Amino acid sequence: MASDNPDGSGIWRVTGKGTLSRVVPTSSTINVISASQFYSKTVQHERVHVNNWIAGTGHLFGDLYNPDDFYNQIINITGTSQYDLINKLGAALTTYVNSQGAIVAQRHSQDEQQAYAVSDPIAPQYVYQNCGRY
Amino acid sequence: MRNLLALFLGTMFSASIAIAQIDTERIPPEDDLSDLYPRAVASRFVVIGTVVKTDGVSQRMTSELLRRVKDERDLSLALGGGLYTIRVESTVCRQTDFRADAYTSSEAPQTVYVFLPRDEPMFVNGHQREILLPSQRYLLFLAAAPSQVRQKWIESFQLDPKQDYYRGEELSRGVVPLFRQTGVGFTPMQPPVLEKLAQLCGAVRPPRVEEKLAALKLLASSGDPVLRREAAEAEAALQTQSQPPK
Repeated sequence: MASDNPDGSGIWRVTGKGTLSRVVPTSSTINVISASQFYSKTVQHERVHVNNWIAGTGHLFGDLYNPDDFYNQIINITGTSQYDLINKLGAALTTYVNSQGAIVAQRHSQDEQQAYAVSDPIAPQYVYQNCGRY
Repeated sequence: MRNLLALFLGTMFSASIAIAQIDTERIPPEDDLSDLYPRAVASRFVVIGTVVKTDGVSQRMTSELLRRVKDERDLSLALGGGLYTIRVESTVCRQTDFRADAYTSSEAPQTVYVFLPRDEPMFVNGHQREILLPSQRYLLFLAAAPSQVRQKWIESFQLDPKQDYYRGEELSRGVVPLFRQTGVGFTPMQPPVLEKLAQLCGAVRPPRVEEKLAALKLLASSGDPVLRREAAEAEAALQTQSQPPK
């Protein structure tokens, strides 16, 4: 939530988190037909990726895109108008999302390692197994 | 006291997730070695460079966007994309070197910018979006954004209209991670694409077309099957260009 300053100075400021929230996928889209012998293998693999996004410790990406972190970064931002404030908040959000995306990219190999560690042992095995690539 | 006006920051973090299907996602080394000539000639420059800065770029705020952010209570509508600043260490290939009439080719700028809009799908024409990591060193096949796309980006996003903005040629295929020099006296093994491309592009560096053709002919007769194939293709293209019009 943002408002102009109650003291009448006309400064717009952030006054609360409003509906700020973290939204991550809770299911995956499987592009392998369900009759395929590789279906279960793929489902298990993708499930690891989805689980890695659950918030909190023990999940690879559980510490990222944290609304409290972002809120703490914008809490002191002010604007000379509603337009100015939203513009600044938009820029701050873009910078934050970009920084989080860079961390996701850095952990990408680890994410795949974890997923292949689950899916590679599931029969039938591929001619080549993938875990070694990550 | 002025009226208290409330604005909800209805922002949802829609984490952009690169969830891979179980098959290949990164570019296997053997694929890096195919189509070297077409990819080099389609790139304005091929450079070795390091990502020195990443910035979030937001949408240019308009009254329409402001209205939507307020109505939909969604600040994420203002998100634009990622701007990656690359410090160029050396230019491996120059597009103009592959032309028969190119007598003046310039090196790539010392700094180039790659812009990746956020609203793009993970795959475009079968090619996966580029992933660029901070401080990582890359071999980059740089394709300049087409002028209409560049114009649209500059109108839509907070980008400098004086700069050129690049993408990877065939997106992630144009982004080849390189190893860093980690210590004195130790040279890490680099992906073979680097050496092959350097040889191919080195052959077309001389300004005169006769010299280019002679160097390509030499490569085309080498024992290396990749260089043989790519040099023959480059040679054929140069010869076609240098033939007088009928």
